[in-house]
Amino acid sequence: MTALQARDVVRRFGGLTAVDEVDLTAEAGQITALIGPNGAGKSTLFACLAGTETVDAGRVLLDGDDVTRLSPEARAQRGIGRTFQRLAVFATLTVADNLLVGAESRRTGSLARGLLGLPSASARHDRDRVEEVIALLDLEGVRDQSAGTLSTGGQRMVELGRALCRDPRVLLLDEPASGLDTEETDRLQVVLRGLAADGMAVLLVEHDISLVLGAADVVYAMAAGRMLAHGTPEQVRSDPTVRSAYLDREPA
Amino acid sequence: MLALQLAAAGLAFGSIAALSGIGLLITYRATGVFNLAHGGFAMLVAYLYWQTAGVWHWPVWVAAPLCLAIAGPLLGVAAYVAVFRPLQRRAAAPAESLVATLGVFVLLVGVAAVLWGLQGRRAPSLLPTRRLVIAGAGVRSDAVVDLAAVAVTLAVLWWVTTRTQIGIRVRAVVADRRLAELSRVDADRVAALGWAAGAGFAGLTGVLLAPQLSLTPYGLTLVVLETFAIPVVARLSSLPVAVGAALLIGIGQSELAQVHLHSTDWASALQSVQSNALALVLLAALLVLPRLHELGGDAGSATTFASRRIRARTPTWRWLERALAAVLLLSPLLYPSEVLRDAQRVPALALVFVSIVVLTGYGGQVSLGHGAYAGLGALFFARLSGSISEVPALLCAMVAAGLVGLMTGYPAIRRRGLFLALTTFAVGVTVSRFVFQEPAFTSGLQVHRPAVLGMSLAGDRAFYAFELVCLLAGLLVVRNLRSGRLGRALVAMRDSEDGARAVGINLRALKVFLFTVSAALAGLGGGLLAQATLAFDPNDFDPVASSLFWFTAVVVFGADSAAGGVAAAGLVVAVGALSGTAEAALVPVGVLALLLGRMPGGLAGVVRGLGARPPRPAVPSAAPPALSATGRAARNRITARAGA
Repeated sequence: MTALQARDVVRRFGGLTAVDEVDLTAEAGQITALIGPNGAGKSTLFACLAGTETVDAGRVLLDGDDVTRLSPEARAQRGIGRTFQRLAVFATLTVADNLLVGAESRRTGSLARGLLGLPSASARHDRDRVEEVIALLDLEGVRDQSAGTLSTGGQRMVELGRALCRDPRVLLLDEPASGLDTEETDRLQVVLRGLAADGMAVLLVEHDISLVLGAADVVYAMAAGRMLAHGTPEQVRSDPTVRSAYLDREPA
Repeated sequence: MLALQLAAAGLAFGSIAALSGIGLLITYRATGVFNLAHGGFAMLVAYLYWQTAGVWHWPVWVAAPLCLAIAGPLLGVAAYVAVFRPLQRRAAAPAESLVATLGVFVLLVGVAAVLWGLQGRRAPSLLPTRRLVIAGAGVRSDAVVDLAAVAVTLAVLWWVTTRTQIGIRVRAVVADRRLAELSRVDADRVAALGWAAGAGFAGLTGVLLAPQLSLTPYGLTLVVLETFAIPVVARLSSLPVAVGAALLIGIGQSELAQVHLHSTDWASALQSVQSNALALVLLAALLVLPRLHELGGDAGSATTFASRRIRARTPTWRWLERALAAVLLLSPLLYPSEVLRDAQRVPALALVFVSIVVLTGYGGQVSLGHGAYAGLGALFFARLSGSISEVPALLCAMVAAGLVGLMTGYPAIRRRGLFLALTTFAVGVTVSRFVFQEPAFTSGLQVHRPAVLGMSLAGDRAFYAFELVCLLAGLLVVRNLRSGRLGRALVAMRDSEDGARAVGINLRALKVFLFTVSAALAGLGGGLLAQATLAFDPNDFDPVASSLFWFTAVVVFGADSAAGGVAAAGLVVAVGALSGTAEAALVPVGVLALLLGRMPGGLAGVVRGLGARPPRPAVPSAAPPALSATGRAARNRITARAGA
């Protein structure tokens, strides 16, 4: 089932067309990877999907609904979770509180209630969700540390956990393996496979070819703002245009 | 003909504003620091010139070069070497530089106020003020010289930046400091030059401006601060645009004198517009100009103001703190009434400070305009209490201040860092100029203390107790903004706006809400301040003496600590009362602000460090954390691979 779709998306910066009439589909229950050399436009496309960048033409559909004009926070409310390449954890909050912010933001809370100090109605439920995700991502050992003190890999896990606490239907991951060691990358791969098996649509932008080839069900390859090819990892790897644009130049 | 004469008169002020704008831009372009202390430099040099030429009667040809060519630039270099170079060396966050400029500013204003007092001085004019007749229009000679100074400055700057080695170096540093250093450009020297030139122009501005106004530590400073309008209109980049804008503002302001309105109300409104054109232009430019960008990144992340370590304090220590605070706050009830009357300012000021803690420390939003909310609270209360009884009047004043906060919260949705700071400052100045300084709003006010349940609180002790109750209620609200779901959302917004958006937190609503609550709390504090002094005194809410100083004091005592805010109020009042001059408190606050780099989290951070539990042993020394099944599988795979 199609969860997130980009249709003929165009994004220009001045005279440069960073994303040029690109189509992309992320299916529920699959891991979709977006690859391409530096400057290919994959980060811009990712931002258009997450809502942090507006599109000049084309549409973004979430479960068939047009979300092209929605803000990032509105898209998050509708079920898109994301992580950042440049880390964006809540540095002074503990790991558990980072996740709790994610879990709590599933429902809009009353500001007046908060001002009067009345407890949130779903507090119990939210904390349970946090415990589940802590167990899933093995964050037990660092739960009371402030997130800003963790390693890059640790912070990436916190961001992933924060997104997961929202129960997203689509998970967007921006270079989730950069800064991770081999062990952490392996674990990430296992976690992502499990999430996809549960029916989530996972879309990742990634430089780490081993993660892409090992984990992805579908690979999209971009270069110079255009989509070159898509298909299974094997198909894309053997695609001649992809080889000439990317794989031959950057031995993985 | 009148139009020409007015234009010529306007050029004098326009030229002075242009010189100020040039100074600000030079420092900003060469160092990336927007110098909020600019007004302080100008004021101090103006005082030096007054002291040497006016009081000691040194000849102009000694006093003028000494003040303008030596003292001014030296001040800039001193500030650079002592304060800004260390910040630059450790690549401090822009927010830290912002607070450091405020620290320098507060220190300079404090020193001037302590040395020379608050009374207005008549500064001698640097330039002859004969009337000349040029092309049939009467022109004052100082206007001609001012304009010539601007023209010469522009020509010299153009020549220096395009034709000389040092100019090329400056441009290289402006474009990319690191890269310039790698190309063997001495960025330190360029920055020192930027500070010297900036402060030099500030001094010139001050000396030229002082004879036209009364020389006071606050008044002259504020006018120079209003010239922030000029670099902002020039989008912090173009010198010629800045100069053109300054001259146009000067002429436009002067030409307004030609407009005659029949209704006296409108005429007086027009007159305030005319005399406060700069403040209006600053506010309008900040609200209208889209996408202003800061050099060298964004001063938005106010996480800098918070202490980063989360370390639980021992329960004993926490109770000790509370008991100490309670004793200190209750003790004034035993003081003799003169002392008690000073102490009555403490809970009122504490509420205002805590309102800044909520906004800046918890929510990461900078506000340099809190004097406006407090003053509006005081003014609304004073006006309402004539017609309704005091307690409802106080509540209405809170709501009214909150509504103003709500309106000013909207600009904050899209603005961060420096531009949010400037916008809130402009709001504060505008409110002060158009409301607090307007006799129509502030004359004939009678302030009374409330009665609760038939009990009069007019007595000093009873009123102080009432203030403590208000403070306690305010602190309860503050606690709710710190803890629980709402508190976490606020900290999330402070730590990472991107992250908060990604989980679907509605930042617009949260920011506007936070501004509203903070303004209401400040309004309550302001209302109590008016009741404590039994009058509405506009000087209590002067943008320099209140907004800028208060923000600095709060950051010094720990922006994310409500206890720090209360302690700051106590200390500010105590220093003022003990030394006999209320302004004396500016000096220690300014000095501490310059030391903030050594104590992240402010004084509250230092105190927290004292009472913290010893940090837990690092994980590796304990038993290795248990791996999950997937983790074990991954590790086994890796060890297998390594063995093969």
